[in-house]
Amino acid sequence: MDPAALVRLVGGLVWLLLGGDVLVRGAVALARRLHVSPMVIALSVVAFGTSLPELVVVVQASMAGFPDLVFGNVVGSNIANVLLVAGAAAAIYPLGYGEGSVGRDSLVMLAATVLIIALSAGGTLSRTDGFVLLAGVAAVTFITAGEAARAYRDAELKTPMEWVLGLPTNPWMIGLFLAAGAVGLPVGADLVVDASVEIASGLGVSEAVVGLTILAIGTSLPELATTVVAALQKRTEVAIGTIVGSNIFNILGIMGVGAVISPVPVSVSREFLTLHFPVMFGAALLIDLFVLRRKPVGRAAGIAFLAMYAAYLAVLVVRTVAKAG
Amino acid sequence: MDIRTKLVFTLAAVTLGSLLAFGWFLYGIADRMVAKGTEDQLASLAESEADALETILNGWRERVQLIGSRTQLRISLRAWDASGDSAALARVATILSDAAVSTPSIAALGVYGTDGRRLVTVGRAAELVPLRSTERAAAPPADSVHVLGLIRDAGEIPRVALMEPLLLDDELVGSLYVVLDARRLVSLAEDTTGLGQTGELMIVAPDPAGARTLHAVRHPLDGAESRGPIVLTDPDDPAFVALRGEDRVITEGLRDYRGRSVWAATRSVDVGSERWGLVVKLDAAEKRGAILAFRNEMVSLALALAGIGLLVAVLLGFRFASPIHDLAGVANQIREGNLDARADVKREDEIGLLARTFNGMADELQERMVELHEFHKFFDVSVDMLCIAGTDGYFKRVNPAFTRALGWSEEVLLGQPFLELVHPEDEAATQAEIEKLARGELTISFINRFRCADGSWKWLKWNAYPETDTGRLYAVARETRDRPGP
Repeated sequence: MDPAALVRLVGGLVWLLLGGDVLVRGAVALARRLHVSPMVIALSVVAFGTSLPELVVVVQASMAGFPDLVFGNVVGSNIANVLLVAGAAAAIYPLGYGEGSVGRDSLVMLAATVLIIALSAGGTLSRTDGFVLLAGVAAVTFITAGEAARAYRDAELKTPMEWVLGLPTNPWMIGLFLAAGAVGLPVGADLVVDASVEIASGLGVSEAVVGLTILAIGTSLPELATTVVAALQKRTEVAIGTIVGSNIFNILGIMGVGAVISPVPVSVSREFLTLHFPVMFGAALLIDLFVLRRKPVGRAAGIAFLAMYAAYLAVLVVRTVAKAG
Repeated sequence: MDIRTKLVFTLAAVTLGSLLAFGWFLYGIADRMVAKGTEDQLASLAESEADALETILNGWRERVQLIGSRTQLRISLRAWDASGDSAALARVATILSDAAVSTPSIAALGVYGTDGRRLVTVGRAAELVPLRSTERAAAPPADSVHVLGLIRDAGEIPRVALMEPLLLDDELVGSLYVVLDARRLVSLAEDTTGLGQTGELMIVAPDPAGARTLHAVRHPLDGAESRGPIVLTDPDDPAFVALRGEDRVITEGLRDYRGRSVWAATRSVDVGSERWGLVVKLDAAEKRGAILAFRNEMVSLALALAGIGLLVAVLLGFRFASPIHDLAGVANQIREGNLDARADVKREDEIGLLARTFNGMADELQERMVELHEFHKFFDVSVDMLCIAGTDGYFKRVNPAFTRALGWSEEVLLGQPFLELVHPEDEAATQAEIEKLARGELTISFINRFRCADGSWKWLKWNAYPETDTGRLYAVARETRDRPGP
């Protein structure tokens, strides 16, 4: 495998994550300057902004005609969110089952998972399907607007000094942040998609596998970092809610955009229907079990999640080797 | 903006800038290298193709000369010319037939007399045309074969017509015409090995309309149903450079018959009656394409490497910023009263220096605070009445003994001029004493009466020390049985 591809992957991920971070900071600073209420800021900018890396990658992969990367990224992100992020954090400190609307949201997540499996069962995801998904995300956002804002406002109160220090105040700086983010994101997405395709062909694996593993973990790094740090500080109250919300947005919002933008209907390869979708559904079900029975996700559960993720990755590797051999 | 973000932006700009600048120069160098390489390649190709063409031409000439060198042929021709001897003519015919049989590539043979009339022909006679009178007059010296031109009918093998004037004892006795199979020339022209996707070799001859290719061109013109020879009319076409006899390699300002920008090497070959041009050319875009791909690859890698640099910047930023935050945290702790808080001093750099200095300051501060605490305690627990007053007539600080002795609260004592509490009869003396203090003289054992909260008067003996630059008076009072002297 060409080492240049690895360089491009890492470099691209950095551009993606930093670009998203800088863009969000610039947008928050702009909104503050325009005296937009913090709730609206939290709901729209921050929540949407942390999904920007996945969104940009999906747009790029969709337009370039790599549907497996698109699906792999979204599905892999959802699986990683539950098994890897929640698992790692819970292994450090138990995750509270979530207050308020998390119960309902977890059911929404399950419903969204079922929806996308149903839409893709025929083997393709058409533009119409994409619009259905986008309608879903609009509805969900509308209904949960108030509660989500409250959750994020509370989360914002706990932000460390560094975040606050990092908000630009000078309008030139705000502009610079927004521009840097707007440039960095597509640059990163371009590099990452090219590198993923190259790595896939270099290792002889399908693009789906690369999307499910490297890409999904890479774009989930910020969530992993913040959740683990929160767990280390024993502040895990919003972890489950964030994961559930992120998963809903991934399926309805990001996948929806990908399907709508793609020049041709997005094809769904068989291994998604037989392996990856079921795993994603299973992960969603797991979280729902904890939330609906009002049980916190404890250390044992966290370690179990991690073990399940490792097993899933092992299955992927074995399948790939078997195909190559 | 925090240090981390500053670092990230600066490093991003610097890394990206320097990588792109480096790439720019590299691109220029690579471009020139590729251009030079292509020039050399074109030049050497042109040389070798020109040699190959010469070889083919020489082969043709030899074949003609082989036939024409038969002395019997010339003698017979002279005999015919001189006396009309038909036997001589028959001999000529035999020689020609033998030649036609023994040389497979001959399509037609003919002998013409000195008057230009056709005498004997073998093969496709229609293709044999007499020399025009002007050409006859300008007949080159003996043993020189010239090429009259290429004959090409659709779907048939191309053929070349050659002519050799036949001389005997330096006297013209006739002309020999040979039409040969010219396949080898066409194969040469149509062989595109070494010329990439777009390159071609073109062999051109002069034409009334401009220049004519002797073979089918590689790229059919728009609207043409098949490939075929074409006539070039654009004066920018490298074919004309070749026809002028210039041996050059040109990489600027050339266009070929498709209007595309091309790089070309030109040679020319003398075929006797005219000059043919030879052009080896390549689309400029084909080589450019390789360079552009190289450039895009470089930009992509530069961005990726800059990204990795950014990651380093972020990590560095954390490394620099967090000890500073820790230091600020320690300072806050001290401010809130935890005097034992100290900063971590494991680092060797400037931040470590700051931390060590900070700790030293905190140590000093702690000592001072302990001292202060001791003196404060002294002040508070003293049975004697201690106070700090001002020459403006107000108490600034009083210790609890004042309250125990006089009954007034601290607020009352500090809230009014102390002269209000002095016995009216002692007011003047007290005032005078204050003025003395204001001049810098000590007060020793000054006695006056102070009113108590319960209305009674207390006799107090005062010692006071003035601090003239601040107007502060440091005083001690005791209850006394002594009375002021007269």
